[in-house]
Amino acid sequence: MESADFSIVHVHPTLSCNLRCRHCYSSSSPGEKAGLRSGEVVAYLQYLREVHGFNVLSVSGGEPFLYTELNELLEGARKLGYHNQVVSNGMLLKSRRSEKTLNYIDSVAVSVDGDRELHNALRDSTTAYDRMLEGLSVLRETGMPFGLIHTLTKKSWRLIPRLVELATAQGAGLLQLHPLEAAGRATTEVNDTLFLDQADLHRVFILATIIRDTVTDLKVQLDLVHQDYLVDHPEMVHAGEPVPAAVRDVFREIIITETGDVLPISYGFSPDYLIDTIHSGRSRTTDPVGEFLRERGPALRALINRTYDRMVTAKDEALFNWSERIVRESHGFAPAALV
Amino acid sequence: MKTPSTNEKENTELYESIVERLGSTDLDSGLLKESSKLIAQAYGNGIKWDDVFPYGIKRPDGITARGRVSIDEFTKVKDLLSNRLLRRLDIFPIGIRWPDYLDVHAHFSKGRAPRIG
Repeated sequence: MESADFSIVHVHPTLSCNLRCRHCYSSSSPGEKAGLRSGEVVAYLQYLREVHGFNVLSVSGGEPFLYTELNELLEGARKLGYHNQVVSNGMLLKSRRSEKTLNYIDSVAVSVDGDRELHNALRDSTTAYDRMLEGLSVLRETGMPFGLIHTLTKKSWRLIPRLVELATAQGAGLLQLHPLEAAGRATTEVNDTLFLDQADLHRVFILATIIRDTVTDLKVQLDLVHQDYLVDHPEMVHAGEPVPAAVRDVFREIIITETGDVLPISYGFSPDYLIDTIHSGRSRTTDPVGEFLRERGPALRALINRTYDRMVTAKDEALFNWSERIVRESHGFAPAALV
Repeated sequence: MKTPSTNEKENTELYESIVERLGSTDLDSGLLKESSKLIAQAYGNGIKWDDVFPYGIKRPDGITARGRVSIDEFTKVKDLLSNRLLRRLDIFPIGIRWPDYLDVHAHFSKGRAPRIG
């Protein structure tokens, strides 16, 4: 499947997790027990598939392998024709239950925060790294395609060559490099010195570009876009286009949160842009996404254009994480004033 | 887990040497910014970057980036000329092994006037 054909539904069915990571953007932890009803999620996935053509399910959390209805969710999505991805810390893959679950999964993304010392420190666990490696061996043995997701920090960017080596040696197909975001628990429990400054982002951008151009058998994805590239390619973020007529004209990612809220583009988006809730009987219409586009499409378009304009005209910054920026803008930008 | 090939080991050494150079506290932040600008300008223009290294002993005052571009996309290299810190651009055939590709060496610093080779 070409990337241009992806329309992804990110589902966070629970914030329950076996870890309490200091940098977790969703503030997941062992204390969180609630979970969405898989039947409701699958019903919503059916609507998104049949009416709007969404075709990839990405289950995140929390730790998806702790979600008690994960098998039902994945099985239901697969029957609808979804490509099923799961984002995991990799620690719970070596179990009989997980063995069955893997039958419903098409690819797995495993989080790696650096070397053993840094990974365990950020995850507040002495065993997280070694159990993650055990999980990777399970994926390799079952032939499951997988990638590594790394949260870039000031302490970890120098470890990128080792992460490339790890990913290659383990047989990963993707290494995704995602700069640490000031979201969730990271806003209170991560020292400011861990966040990358613009000079660090330039270093990472140069290094990742060279790695991307020279490494073989591994896709390297850096979640940063350069101002100059955005100037020439506004379509990359759907900026400057007419008021949207269809979902894929304005966003290709939709989020279902742990509370059942449906939001556009990225986790953490302002509830001002709430599209719907998945809970049965609460939708006002048979096509809530279409109605959202009709009613709020101009406001979302204005938000996208404003975020884009700020990025391409910034004087002190040149590298940006698009989803982090638009989430931030969504909280500081009153949509009603623009409709 | 598979054993790293010679090529993979060489890559790791290359990447670590780049980390070392980019991490130098003596490296001018303006040059870092211009280096990533150069790379962003070239993105989509078919240039694949193989290495980047600061030059100037002790206090680097410039950066060289080395890459390759297919002959078909050669004309797009001209976009690099808009970088205000570009001081020298060398383009030459890689050779018999890669007849369809050209080597691109771009040097830029806050120093002397540009020279296109």
